[in-house]
Amino acid sequence: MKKYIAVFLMATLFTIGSLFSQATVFKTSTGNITFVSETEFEKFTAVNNQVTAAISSQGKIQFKAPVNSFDFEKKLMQTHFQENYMESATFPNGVFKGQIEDLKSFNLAKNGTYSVSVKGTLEIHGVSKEVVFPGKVIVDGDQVTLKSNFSISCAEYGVKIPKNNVNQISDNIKISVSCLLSK
Amino acid sequence: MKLANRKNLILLVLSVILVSIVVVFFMATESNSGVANDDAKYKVTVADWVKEGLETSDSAYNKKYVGQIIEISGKVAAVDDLPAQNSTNVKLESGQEEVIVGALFNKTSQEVSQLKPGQDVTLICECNGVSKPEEDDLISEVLFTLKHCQLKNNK
Repeated sequence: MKKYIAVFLMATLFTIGSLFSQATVFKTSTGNITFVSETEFEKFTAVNNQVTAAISSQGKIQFKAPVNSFDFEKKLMQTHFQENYMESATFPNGVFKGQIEDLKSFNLAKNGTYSVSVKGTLEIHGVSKEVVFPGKVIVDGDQVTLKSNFSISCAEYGVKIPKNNVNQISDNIKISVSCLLSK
Repeated sequence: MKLANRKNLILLVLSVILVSIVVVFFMATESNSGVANDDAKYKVTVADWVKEGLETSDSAYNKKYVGQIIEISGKVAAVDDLPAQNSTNVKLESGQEEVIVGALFNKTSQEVSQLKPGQDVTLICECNGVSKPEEDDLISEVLFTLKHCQLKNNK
């Protein structure tokens, strides 16, 4: 009899443990990332509406942006961006994988707007760098919106801008992220 | 060289320069329509296209398809309007578990928004290729993405 009780208790504990360790994941494959390059002479914007993004209740955050999904106003600029600067055939995606630093700073089970700090690895053009970004996690029922604004340097990620284009393309690229996620 | 011949030569050179300037200007300022207008290089069904993607390495598959215009036929799985992005994403039935095929229409239109799950469609799209999950990814699905789509009967 004691043996059965022990087995029953162990099974119950295992089940409860599994339930608590299972993270809820919100995700999308149609997130938005927009970037802006602005110099004294030229400003241009590129938009990507096919960003994969996910957040787990344990604070893991991931983004994957296919380079070829960035749309520019001008076709030629898009071709240069994909083929010459980002070399999308070799490096097809920009990827961020990180973790919300303070797990108490957000709660996916409770509606609200949470300001968070996310630490992780950003890989662009085959170069990986440790970064910390500020962001907002907006919980509204079954949907979660992730927002962030930050800047990166092209040079830091090995993206070479030809000398005759430095007046048109800024080294400092402003990035804006907005992704609506659901379960 | 006779004067008439010299004049003709100068006119020819000037014409070539002018045409070159116009061509370069056109190429540099050509706007991105956001719609796949070129003739399709490949005509595929969703099932065959997905099967090929799963059986081929990412790099070989993407080398073949990325940036190419494809005509793709299949059934609608879901329609997601994305008003904030002024676009609509149509998911197509992939016939495989853990596989998502997303076709993005840059401009929302009533005809696209009113597509129903199970409806047969043929789309003209620019191919964005396949993205397979890595071990530590939160998203476990294989993603096939298409952009700049339009319904074939609208072409």
